[in-house]
Amino acid sequence: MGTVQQIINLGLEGLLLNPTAYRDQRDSPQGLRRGFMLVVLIGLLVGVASLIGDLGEYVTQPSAATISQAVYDGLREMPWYADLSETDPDFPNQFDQIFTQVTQSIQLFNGGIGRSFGGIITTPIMLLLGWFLFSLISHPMARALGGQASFSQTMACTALAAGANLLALVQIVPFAQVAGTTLLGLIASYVAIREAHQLQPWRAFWATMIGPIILVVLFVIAACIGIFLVLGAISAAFQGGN
Amino acid sequence: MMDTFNGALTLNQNLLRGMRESPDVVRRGLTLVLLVGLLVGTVQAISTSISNANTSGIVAAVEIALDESIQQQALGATTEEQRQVIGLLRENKEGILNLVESMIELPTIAPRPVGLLFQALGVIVSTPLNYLGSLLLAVVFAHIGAQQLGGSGNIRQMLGMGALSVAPHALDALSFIPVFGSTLSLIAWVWGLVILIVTTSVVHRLDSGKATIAVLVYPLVGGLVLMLSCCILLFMSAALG
Repeated sequence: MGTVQQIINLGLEGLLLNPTAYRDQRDSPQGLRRGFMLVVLIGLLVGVASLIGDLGEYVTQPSAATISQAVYDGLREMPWYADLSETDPDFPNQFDQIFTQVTQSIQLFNGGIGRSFGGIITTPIMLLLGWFLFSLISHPMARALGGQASFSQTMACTALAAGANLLALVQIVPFAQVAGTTLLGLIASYVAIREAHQLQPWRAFWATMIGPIILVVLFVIAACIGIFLVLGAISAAFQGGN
Repeated sequence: MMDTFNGALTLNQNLLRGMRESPDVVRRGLTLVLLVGLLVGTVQAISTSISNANTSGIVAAVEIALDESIQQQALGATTEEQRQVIGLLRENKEGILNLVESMIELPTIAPRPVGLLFQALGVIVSTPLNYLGSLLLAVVFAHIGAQQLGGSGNIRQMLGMGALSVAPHALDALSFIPVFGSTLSLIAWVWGLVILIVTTSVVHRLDSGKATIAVLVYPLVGGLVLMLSCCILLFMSAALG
C-alpha cells in the first residue's frame, strides 16, 4: 500500500510527468489501489488546506453583514440617492428591496466558512468522481484507437494526473489564487493514457480530449438552453405586463 | 539553477540541447518558474504592502483611478445618456471615496497588520502559479502546432524547456516603477516569446521559421476568431438598433 510519504511522492512524479512512474503504475498489481489512495489523500489535503486558508481570510476580513451595512449606508449618503428620493417618493422602498435581493444573492453565492468545512468531504468525492468519469470515457476511446491497457490499468495511470492538484495546496495561505491545475491535469492525463495504452501521440491526444470536449459541448448546450429559457421568461413577462 | 537561468536568457544552445535530453527536464523547468515567480511575487507583495499600509494611500489611489476613468469616459462620450452618467459619477465622487474609506476601516477579528501580512503572502505564493497558468496554455498550443508541422519532441520536453521562457519575467519585479516598469515588462514578454520559439525549435528539431509558426499560429487564429466574433456582435447589435 505504501506510506503517506510514498503516496505523496507518487503524486509528485505524476505532477512532473515522469513516464517511469506512469509505467510502474500500469504494471503494478497494486496500481489501482495506490491510485485510489492518492486521489483520496490529495482531495483531503486540498480540502484541509483550503479550509485553513479560508479561516485566515475569515479572521482578517469584516463580516458580510458589516460590509453590507457599510455599503448600504454609503450609498444612501450619496447625492444621487437624495435626488432620486425627491423625484420619486417610492424610490427608498424600491432601493431597499433591490439591495436586499443583491446582498442575499451574494451571500448565497459565497457560501461562507460553512462551505469550506464541507470542502473537506466534497473535494475528495469530486476528485474521485472526476477520475472515474474521465477513465470511463477515455478508456473505450483509447481501446478503439488501438490501446492495449485494461480498465484498471487506465484508472491506475490516470490517478497520477491528480498529482496536478498538489499545486492547489497553496490555498493553505489566505488570499492565494490557484492557476494552471486543470490544464496541467489534462497534460498529465494525456501522458497517463499514452503510457497506459502505449499509443501514438495524436491517438493519445484524442483519447484524452474526448471527455473534456463532450463536457464543453454539454455545457454550451445547457448554457444556450438556459439563456433561451431566461430570454423567453423575460419576454413573456414584458408581454404579460403590456 | 543559475546556469539554467543564464543559459535561457542567453539562448545557450548547448544548455538547451542538454536539457532536452535530461530525464528531469520538467523538474528543472518548473523550479525556474517557481524561483522567478517567488522573486517577482515578493517584490510585488512588499510594494503592495507599503502602498496599502495607510488608509489615505488607498483612498488616494482609488481617487486617481476614478479620475482617470471619468476622464476616459468623458473623451469617448457621444450621447446625452453617457454625459449624464459621467455627470453622476463626478457629483458622487466624494461619496464613493467616503464609502471606500469606511470599508477599509471596518472592524475585523484579527488586527489589520495580520490581514496585510496574509495578503502579501497570498501574492507571493500566487505569482508562480500565475506564470505557470499562462505558460501551460502557450506550451500546449505551441506543442500542437509543432506536432502538426512535423515536430518530434514530446510534451514533457516542451513543458520543461518552454518554462525557460519565464526567465526574462524576472524583470517584472521592477514593474512597480512608474512608466519604466511597464516598458521592462514588455521587454520581458518579447524576450520570453523569443525563448519559447527557440526552445520549440530545439525540442521539436524544427527550423526557426516553422517554430515561429508553431508558437504563433494558434494565438493568432484565436485572436482573429475573437475579433470576428466581436465584429459580428457589434454588427448584430447595430442592426437590431
